[in-house]
Amino acid sequence: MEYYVGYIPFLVTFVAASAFGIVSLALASVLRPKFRPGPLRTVPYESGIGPSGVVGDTRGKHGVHFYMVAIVYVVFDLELAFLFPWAVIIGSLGLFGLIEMAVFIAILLVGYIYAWKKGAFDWGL
Amino acid sequence: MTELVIAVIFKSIIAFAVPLLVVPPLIWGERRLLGRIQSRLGPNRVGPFGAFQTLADAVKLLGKEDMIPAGADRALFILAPFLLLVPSFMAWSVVPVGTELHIFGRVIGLYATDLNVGVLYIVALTSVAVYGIVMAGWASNSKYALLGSLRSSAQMISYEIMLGIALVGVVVLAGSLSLPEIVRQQQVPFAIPLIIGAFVFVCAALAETNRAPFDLPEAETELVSGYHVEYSGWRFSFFFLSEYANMLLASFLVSAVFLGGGWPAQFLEPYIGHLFTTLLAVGIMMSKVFLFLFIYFWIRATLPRFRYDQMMNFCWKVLLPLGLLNLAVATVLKLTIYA
Amino acid sequence: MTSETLLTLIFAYFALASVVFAVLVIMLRNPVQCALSLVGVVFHLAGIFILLRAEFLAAAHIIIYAGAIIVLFLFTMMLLNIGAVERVRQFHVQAPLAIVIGAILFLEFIVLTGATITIGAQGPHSPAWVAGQGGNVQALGQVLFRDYLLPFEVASVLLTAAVVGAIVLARQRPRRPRSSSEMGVSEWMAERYEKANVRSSNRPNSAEEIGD
Repeated sequence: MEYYVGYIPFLVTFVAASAFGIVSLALASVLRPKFRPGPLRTVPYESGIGPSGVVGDTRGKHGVHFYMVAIVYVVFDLELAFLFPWAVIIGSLGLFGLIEMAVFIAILLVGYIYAWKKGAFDWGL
Repeated sequence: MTELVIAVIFKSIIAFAVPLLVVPPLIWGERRLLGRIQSRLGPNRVGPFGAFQTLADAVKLLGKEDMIPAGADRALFILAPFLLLVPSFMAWSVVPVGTELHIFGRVIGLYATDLNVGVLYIVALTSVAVYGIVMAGWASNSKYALLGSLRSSAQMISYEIMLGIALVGVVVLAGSLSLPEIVRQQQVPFAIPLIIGAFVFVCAALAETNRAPFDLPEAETELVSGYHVEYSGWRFSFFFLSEYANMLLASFLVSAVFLGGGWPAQFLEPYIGHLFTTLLAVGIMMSKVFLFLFIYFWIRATLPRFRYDQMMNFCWKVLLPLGLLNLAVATVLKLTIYA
Repeated sequence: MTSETLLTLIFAYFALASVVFAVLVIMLRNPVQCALSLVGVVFHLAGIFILLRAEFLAAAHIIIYAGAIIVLFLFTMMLLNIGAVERVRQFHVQAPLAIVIGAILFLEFIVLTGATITIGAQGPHSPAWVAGQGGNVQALGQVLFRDYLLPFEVASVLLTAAVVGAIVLARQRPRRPRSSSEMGVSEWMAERYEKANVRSSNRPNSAEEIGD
């Protein structure tokens, strides 16, 4: 049971933070003046140009660069997930563990260097 | 058993209250300090030395009209601030202010919980903060907000890797993922053998919390205010609060993980006794936290903002190789000196 | 209430909530809301992992699925035009047929596996062994980096293949030789004029002239 007690703080902070947000928003809704709608008041702020489509649809296409960064990120995030269990036992794995992880990272670095050479990290402006 | 549960609940409420109570004076302190550095006064009207300025600001924000832009996705617009706020408070569950206090025949841990996987949960909870940013930008139906959120989330996910890699170096040396255990393991603060890792961690922490010189998400001159441009009133304050709570969290983490927590108080234990040592250790830990916060503000006052391509280059082409180098150094140290 | 009942109730909540979120992933119209429901599924599954004492799996689940993969989904959605997706019909005339076939398959699944599901297979590593290793992460590391060394190394090849493949697919347009920030202003202007088909006699001679 002691194991489960260790997770109570996550529950408590989750409930407390959510409750803080909801209660304070409720308090704000009591204190603040009622929203007066006007013709231009709810227009998104875009430096006076307005969401007229001059700059294109808001929820439209955006640079493929974000996608490339995200895919490289997924790969390194996975690497990170492998690194943590390795890091806690490297003391008992010894040199064997070092070589093992060096091979793993070396193979991943091939992909990293490829991404670098192909300009995944260059944000040509 | 019941007693244990009550103690844990009590400590978690403290863990929740710490950021909530420290953030308002922190914002005031930052503004005063920025004022000093820039040769102006800073807030000095409300209360002594303007100390109640943040409180006055909060009251003002509470009294503002609630505006939701036309064409916004209402449900996500309301949910987004919570997605940022809640994880940033949940991460405090595993943050230690010290190790243990032995008093009245009991052992009181100076943390809400000591999990075997504490570091992993910090990484996990910081990695979900990106949803708040993406959702805020998406739901606003504003081009600036969407662009800001895309840029911001790409920045956050990139620097998250660096944060994780810097932490892995520490885990290698400490051989544990539990934060109090990492603090205990530091006979010498890990910042000394892992100076590269500490540098990577500090850079990543600045970028993760969207602080200068990585404050591109709110680059006022280019993006008005980034992903939260459409938020006003009390909803806006959630973004502010979670940013400062994350800053405080980063400062606690740096102090515990790289600067040795209460180090070197533990060496005084034979001379001044356990109680005073523990109190001294907490005091030293706190002064490290505030030192790091000071550095945060100092950097903001001094350094100009990076350009976006420079920032991404710095992350992937400089910090990532440095992080891997740090990992190699940590592994070699673990197999030789720390064996 | 005993602690056993409490744990069962907590499990019931996590299980029910993850199913509800999973249904929302399919039912909601807006893909961004679907992705957010998927995050809900991931978090509740992580809760179940914690109940099963698989602490590392719970954290890794959140870090990888919620922190990385669904973020990738969201990025991909923002590259596409979501408006068109939202107008696609979600249910077709085939829906009742699909429900019937699904129900049959589910029954088949119950009949075929019903005998083994209730017992539950025991793994080779006992809880005592895991505790002896110093905890869940340590035990997992011992198994992963000693017994399953080859699959672990092969995973890195797979990840590298994923990076290369994604970049090849993403880069269909030829890349500009240099970014404009590296070019000189006059060079950049010349390129712009070239694109706009402005005759060279109508172009200003230098960058300074442009400044006037």
